[in-house]
Amino acid sequence: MTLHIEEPGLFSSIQDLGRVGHMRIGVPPSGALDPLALRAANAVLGNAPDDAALEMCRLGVTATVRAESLRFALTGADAPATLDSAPIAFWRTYTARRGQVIAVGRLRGGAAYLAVRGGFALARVMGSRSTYTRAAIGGFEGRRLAAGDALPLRLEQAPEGRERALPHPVPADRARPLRVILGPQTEMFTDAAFRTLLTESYEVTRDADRIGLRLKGAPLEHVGRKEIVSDGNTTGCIQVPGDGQPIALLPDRQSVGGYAKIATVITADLHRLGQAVPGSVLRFEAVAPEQAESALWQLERAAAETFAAIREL
Amino acid sequence: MLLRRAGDAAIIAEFSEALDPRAAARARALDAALVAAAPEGLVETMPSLRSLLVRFDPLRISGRAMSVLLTELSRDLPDAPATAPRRFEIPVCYEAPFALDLDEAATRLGLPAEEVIARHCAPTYTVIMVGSFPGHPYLIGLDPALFLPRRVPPRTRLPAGSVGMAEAMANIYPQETPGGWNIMGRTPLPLFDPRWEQPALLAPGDEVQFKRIAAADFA
Repeated sequence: MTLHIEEPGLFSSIQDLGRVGHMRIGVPPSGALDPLALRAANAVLGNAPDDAALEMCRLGVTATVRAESLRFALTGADAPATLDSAPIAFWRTYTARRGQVIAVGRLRGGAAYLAVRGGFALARVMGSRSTYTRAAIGGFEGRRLAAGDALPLRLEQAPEGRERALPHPVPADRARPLRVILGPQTEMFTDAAFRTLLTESYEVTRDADRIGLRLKGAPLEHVGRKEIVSDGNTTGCIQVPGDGQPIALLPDRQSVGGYAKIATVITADLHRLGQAVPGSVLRFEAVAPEQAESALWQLERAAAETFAAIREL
Repeated sequence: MLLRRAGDAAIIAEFSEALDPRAAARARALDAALVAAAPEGLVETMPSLRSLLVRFDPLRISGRAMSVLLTELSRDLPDAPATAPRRFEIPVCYEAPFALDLDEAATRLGLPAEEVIARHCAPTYTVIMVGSFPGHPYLIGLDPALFLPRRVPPRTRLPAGSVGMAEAMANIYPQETPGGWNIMGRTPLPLFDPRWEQPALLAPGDEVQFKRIAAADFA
């Protein structure tokens, strides 16, 4: 029983909530670009929150169900989607029969998730099913999906029961600035650099993948030297190479780096950063760590309320 | 120790701005103390060249509380680790076709190739960081007579096992990757395998010696 990939999209891979605890040996967390959308997919299906799903970037997959039946859900960046040729919606479950074809088109955002009830029958590698292609770890053979791949399913058929839906999409709110905490290398940038970062807009260039987003905009000026003796990277940190053009790092980033970091996107906004695509315009707003913490509490409360309001159709 | 906020879910405890073996040792000592204290909400830690990265779950411990804990733990760090470092002997073949940059390095350093090899083999190195790539060790202890800048531009592909040096450090590339370090030889020893219980052979604080082997013994 498999989900058979006919068209793999642009960069589709298996991701869960990430591989924790191995940064100390050079392995980044990987995991969903939009963890909130992944959790929503698992919640509506009744899966465990950290079950792995198929993450699609910018362009969706076409896949045939090769099992008795399959309950699935789509979440994340909106896209035209069909089951056979009938249009289907995001943020709710459907049950497909053997031979039916799920097709997802061009995404209006960075990442969408196709999750299946019961999950994919793939082994955890170093504690996670997330794909880290650079080291060929996890997911399906450690790589992005290709036409002809047969993703093993854990369930031969969908359990009894009605379809379910989330009451509304999880918050995406593309218009508001991404909130950042300044630093860690605050002393390495001019005052003007901070003003520029917090007032100007930055466009995501074509150089954008699961490792990071190269941004283009008003250059950010260093005070003196432009590089540091390498230290740890975090997802969401904004590093600034010598040319002053920032790079926002995403879950497949290297564990360490030698560029000075001017700011770090707060945890509550990482799912929005993960939805950026080439051409997206990003703006940044500075917050204090305590504000970041309360933003995260608010986001988690909102997510819990949304998941609690999942209803049968 | 300087605590730097790296977002709302991480703090970098920095012991020096420069590459500094004592700073790295302090970072490892703080790491050991923090892991032993096992505070609620600690996600993971990464000791590196001069600092310790501490990732935590802000829903379970505030940054302020983590900062207080790190400051407390830093007051009382032992100078030496509680246990003796692990020691590894890494076989290295310094011959063609593995020693990609040996002759060029020897010319630039003004030393005979044989002496470069002898000086590269002699020290006991310390793993100061494992990072950038899975299982990739950065080693300090390189003979200052061998200090050379990185290659510009870097090579786009280096074979797995390549043993390199650049500036004051030595390294070993566990996988085929791009890289700019000067390659002195290659080891047949695998350094990373996700199927191992400990997927990386080397950890920060380990001691490493290179043992010269002949091409005939490279297996």
